[in-house]
Amino acid sequence: MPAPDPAVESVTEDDTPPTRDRALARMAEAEDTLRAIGAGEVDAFVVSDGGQTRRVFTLSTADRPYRMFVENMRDGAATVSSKGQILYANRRLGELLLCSTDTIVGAPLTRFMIGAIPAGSSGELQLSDADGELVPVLVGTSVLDVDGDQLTCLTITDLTAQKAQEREITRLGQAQAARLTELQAAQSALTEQVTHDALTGLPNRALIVDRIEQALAVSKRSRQCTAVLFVDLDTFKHINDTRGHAAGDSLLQRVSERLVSVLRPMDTVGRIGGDEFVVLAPEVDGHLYAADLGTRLITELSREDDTGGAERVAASIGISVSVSGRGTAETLLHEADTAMYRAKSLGGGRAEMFDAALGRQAKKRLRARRTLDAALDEQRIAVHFQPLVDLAGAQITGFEALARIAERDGSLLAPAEFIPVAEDSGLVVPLGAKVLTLACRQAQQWQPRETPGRNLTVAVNLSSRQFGYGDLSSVVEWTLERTGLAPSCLHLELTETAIMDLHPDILRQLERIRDLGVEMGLDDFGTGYASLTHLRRLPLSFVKIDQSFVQGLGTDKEDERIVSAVIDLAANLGLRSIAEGVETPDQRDRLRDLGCDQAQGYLFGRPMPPDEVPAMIGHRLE
Amino acid sequence: MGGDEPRPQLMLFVSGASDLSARAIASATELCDVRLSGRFRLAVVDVHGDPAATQSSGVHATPTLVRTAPLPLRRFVGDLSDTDAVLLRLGLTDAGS
Repeated sequence: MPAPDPAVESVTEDDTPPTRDRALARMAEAEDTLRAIGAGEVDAFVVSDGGQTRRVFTLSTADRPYRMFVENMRDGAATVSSKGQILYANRRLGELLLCSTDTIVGAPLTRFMIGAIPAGSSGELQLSDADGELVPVLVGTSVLDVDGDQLTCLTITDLTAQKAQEREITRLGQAQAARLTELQAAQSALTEQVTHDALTGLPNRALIVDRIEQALAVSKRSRQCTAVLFVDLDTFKHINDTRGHAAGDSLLQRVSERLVSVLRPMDTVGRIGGDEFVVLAPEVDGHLYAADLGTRLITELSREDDTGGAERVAASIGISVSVSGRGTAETLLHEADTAMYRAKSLGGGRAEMFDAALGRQAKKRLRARRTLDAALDEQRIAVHFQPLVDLAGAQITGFEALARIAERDGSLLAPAEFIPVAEDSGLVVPLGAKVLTLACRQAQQWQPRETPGRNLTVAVNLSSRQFGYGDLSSVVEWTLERTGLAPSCLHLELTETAIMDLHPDILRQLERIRDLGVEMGLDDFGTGYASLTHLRRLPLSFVKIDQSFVQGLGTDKEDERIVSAVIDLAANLGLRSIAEGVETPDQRDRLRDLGCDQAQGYLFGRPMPPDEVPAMIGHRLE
Repeated sequence: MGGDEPRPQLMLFVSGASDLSARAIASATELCDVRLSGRFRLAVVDVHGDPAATQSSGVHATPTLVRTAPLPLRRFVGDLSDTDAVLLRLGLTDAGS
């Protein structure tokens, strides 16, 4: 198998503007694909989830492969009866029409489609969406004969972005022509003044409002976000008052240049008042990007100026974000203005998001994500080990491996602080592989040479995300081969949520891992939604009883009944039970009486760095 | 990267060792060797094994043959034995002559 081709990696078609050729080619592809599926020429489907997770469904096991493909197409698709009634509509068509597919199915096609094209051909038409707005589209049709009924299959490609581009070109052409006329009349300066600020040459309020409205119209269907940033200089009045208007004007010019230098070509900066600027960033991913942009603008403005203009400029920035074109230019500007005042009241020199809660979360996640990225790059992932003891023999049987990030200052970050971010960003996959390797390598070194029957186990936590990228069993097999650890020494712990949606593909991966000789178990049992059916179907060897139940042992009758029931249930299913969070001798004795097999917790040892483990091994507990 | 034009390349995405995969590999190899006189490099990718390449080439179903260079990407899904249809969709109609 060839390595991923770098030339392919760097290609994303979506970065380039849509053209008629591209739209036609995409439609042709969709038609080819539908025909190939119908003719049984396809044996697997690759389904993406938000551009992140990709799963492969082979035809023999897919539940509804045809539907899955059509549902996930980037173009609208519909099936229409010979009487013109819509029998099926995919998700994308619902998005184009701004309503749920349930309301589309059953309706006559003429309610949504204006104009007609002969069956079997293709052409440009308009859709009328739920708001009564017209959407330009390219429609391809093909006729199927199903049991004597003539069904028409439609593929529908959105042309909004392309039309907007064409209009922009026309408008620019007209503007150019108009300007030439006025040049002849020596009035070009006046025209410029209508839309631009004379001092900085930036668009003025009227023009920026117009640009925001345009951006909102486009993002309504592209499902992207539009960010508006209100920038107000903290120190301007002081400079103007103490050093005169000329110095103030020169500062404004430098600020406008700096703002432009940070932005993408598609972004717009306008000056709407004395020291007030507005940045429009259309087609952005969301709040995280907007927060990041705000921070970058602050940084750029506060940078030491090396061209003689000495002073650093402090600014307050308010950010508002419209999702999928919601709101108007005026509401966005007002929200950004409000957020800017909060930034100012918090001392200035900072960016604030209009939605305070969202803004905080966005900033916090941004910071955590950077920490994780850097830690992976700089090999600062560490693994600590917490001992696991056999309750009957009171001896250490193994360890649970727990990931840590070593901060640059030497402190350690616990999993709770980075695992959620790792899960969301997909970084949990490289992180998980790293932890697995480190844990296996350490455990291999600790195996006793003299008494091979008394091997030490190492338990590693898995994230559900790790099942979404190829076959996890091959990762496990390869790691065992490379580290030399015996498969029986490796235990893998799954969370209840990881197996809640037990897809056949995940089940197959788990079975292959079991076939390697690796044992698997369920972590935090009792806190999630694992059903008995799942417990029976999964190739598990143990369950871990969550510490919240163990802590109540001896004091809370309810907890005691739960722990007892879980231990019995596990025994009946042929699974070992392991108690987590054991802190007192009373808890340990009670667990032993109830028939619990193994335990871990501070009573037996806290998670410790690997160099402290050898002293711990073989140490008999009282 | 440099200023060099990347060598023309086709990538064939298949799903494991199925009958359709075997047929697709045979057809694509013949297409490259005979119809395209060996000017295109052919890479075969198993969608189970190489999610990154699969993702970046926008493949939704297998077998799919993708023209990855020169850009833009062009894809053909399904049976590759009708080489004229395949070449047409991949925008390589004048390549055989």
